[in-house]
Amino acid sequence: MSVIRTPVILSSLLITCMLAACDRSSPSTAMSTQTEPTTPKVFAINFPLQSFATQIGGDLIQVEVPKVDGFSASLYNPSPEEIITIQDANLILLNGADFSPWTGRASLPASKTVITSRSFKKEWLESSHDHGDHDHQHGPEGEGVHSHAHWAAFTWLSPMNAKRQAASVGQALGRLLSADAAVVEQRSKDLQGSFDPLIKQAERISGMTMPTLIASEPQYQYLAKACGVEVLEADWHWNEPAPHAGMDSLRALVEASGAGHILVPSEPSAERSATLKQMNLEAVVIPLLVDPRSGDSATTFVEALGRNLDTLEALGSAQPTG
Amino acid sequence: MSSRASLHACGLAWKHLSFHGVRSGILVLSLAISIALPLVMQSLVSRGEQATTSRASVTPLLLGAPGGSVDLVLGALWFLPEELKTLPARESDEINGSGLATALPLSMTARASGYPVVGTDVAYLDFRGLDVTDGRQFAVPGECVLGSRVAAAKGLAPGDTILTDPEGLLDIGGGYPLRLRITGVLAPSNTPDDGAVFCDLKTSWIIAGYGHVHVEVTETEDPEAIMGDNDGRPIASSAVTPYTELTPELLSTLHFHGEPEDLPVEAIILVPKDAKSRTILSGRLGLRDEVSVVYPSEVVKEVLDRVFQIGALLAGILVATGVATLGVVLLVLALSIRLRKDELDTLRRIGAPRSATITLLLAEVVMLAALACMIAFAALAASTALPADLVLRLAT
Repeated sequence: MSVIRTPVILSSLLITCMLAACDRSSPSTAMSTQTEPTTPKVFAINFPLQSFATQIGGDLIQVEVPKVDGFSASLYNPSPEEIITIQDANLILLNGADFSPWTGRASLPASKTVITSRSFKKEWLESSHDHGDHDHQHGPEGEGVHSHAHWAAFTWLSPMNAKRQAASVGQALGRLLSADAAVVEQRSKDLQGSFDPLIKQAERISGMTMPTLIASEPQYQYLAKACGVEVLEADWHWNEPAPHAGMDSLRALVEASGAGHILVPSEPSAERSATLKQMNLEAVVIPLLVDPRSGDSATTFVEALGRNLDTLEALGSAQPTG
Repeated sequence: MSSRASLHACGLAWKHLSFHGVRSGILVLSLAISIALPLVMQSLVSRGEQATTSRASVTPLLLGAPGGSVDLVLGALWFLPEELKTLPARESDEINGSGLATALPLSMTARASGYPVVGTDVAYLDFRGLDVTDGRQFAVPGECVLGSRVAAAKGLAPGDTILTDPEGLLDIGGGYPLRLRITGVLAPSNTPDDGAVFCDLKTSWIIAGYGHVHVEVTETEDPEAIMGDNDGRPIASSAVTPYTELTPELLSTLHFHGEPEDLPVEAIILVPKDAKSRTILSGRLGLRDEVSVVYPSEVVKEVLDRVFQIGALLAGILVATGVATLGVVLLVLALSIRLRKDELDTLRRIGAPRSATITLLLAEVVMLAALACMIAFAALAASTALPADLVLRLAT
């Protein structure tokens, strides 16, 4: 029987081989079929952009902000895992101008990332807060000495800049929400329109005679420029106990300038108030608006910026115009 | 003739072939090669065409510096080591900003363990439908994900590292290689992506020397790292690691020489939002002399046409060779029958009918042919393990 079985086995093998040769799966040409979430996610790096996105996108989007656990968004430094979560957003709104330096080192999808201050990049101000740590040289003889420009980051404190950043947000949301483009466009126009009184107010302030002002934080550059106000820098990060050069440097600045007001980002503590009082300095609170005011989610950025300008205008109004 | 007699004739035929094993083996192999070669060739060309065309067809537009469009397509889609001119990354930013298309920049000059290191945007992985099955995708410069073939060949997994290759052994003035941290491994896709290492565009720029971090040898924990002092400046010893790794601490010192938008990329894949955007974009880019916009599917069609011309010629030669081999086999069989005249006479004299003799001879031919077919189809099945784009790679 083995004589008969062998050809039968060989025939079976032949058929198997033919089937194997025919069963060739085609190479994978799969494209991503990722299902989009029903409500697009928008990541906003700071309060101004969060406010713009919320006002324009409304319930059409879900706005996410840095998880900072009580710290300011300007100090946010996400882990790689958090960056992966941010990558998943449908739109990533960044400020630019060196705000949040981590964004320059993170792998973010460029097509979904919008640097909202890019349209006025030529008007970015070089930061006056330079400790010289951005200059270095290559080689012992100093060849290749170079420095890296460091930009003042708080662009939104100028109402004109804020308007342009709002326009950039509106444009990006218009592309993202193409089905609701008309609604988005109208909201964007309304938002941009709401900056016009603030721009006029800033122009009005620039025509006033202002008292000599000292700025505690080195972040008021754009506000000062927009309002035509000259401020002297104390180089005092408000979360630190004293200016970088010590309290004596501030005392010397006050004596030399005769300034009676210091711009501060938040209400000083009783102890700090006493210190300022000793120097005949009155604290004028101008929030930097990086974060929403604690416990106040209803106030929009436009309203908050308006309050800042009102505070500044009040200082000017108290002086006789020249 | 009964079926039992036929089976016995087949049995005898098998015995005869087994007895003359060497002769039968040579005949089977000759026939198998004649059958297999055109089949394997056809299969490779067909699979190559399918794989090549599908990769090109899902890559709508390609932007590069003016030059050879074939080189640009082969470099950007298959990561072949082509010498490509560069264009500034600004081009990519501007296209993204226009809202007409998604721009995916590619920098492919570096290699790691011989595999291409592709610096790109994280959206590239989504665009190609590449899933990270093990680990996560890259999030910061210095991290990378491996194609499945690279991971399997080098035995690497998330948490391991891979060193980039130095640009040249004689480049003693060149920068240190970069040690990339592997954060994920991609699922197999049967595409050139399986054989590549993917990282952020900034990582590629650091490898190319456009950006750097500052390593302070005075802050290293290794006491052997400094071998002396030269007027207050430390002299690093050979104990200093001959590579750079972008640790989270060093990453904060990362900076580039120049604006990132001025740094070079070799190619930009453009994925237009819709047909109208595609027309507008290709029209706008086509007017500019400093860039070259290419339709990969058209370029690949040109390349394949050339490959098929050569393939058709080769197939013709193979068919002619096959026919000649078949003739030789038939002659050998005819000669064999003549040599077996006495054996066949004996069969006839002991009462075997003429039909049994014919069945015996036919069975031998069928068995030889069947074995040859079996080997040929086994070779065909084995050829599917070869890369689908082998023909394109060989042709280029």
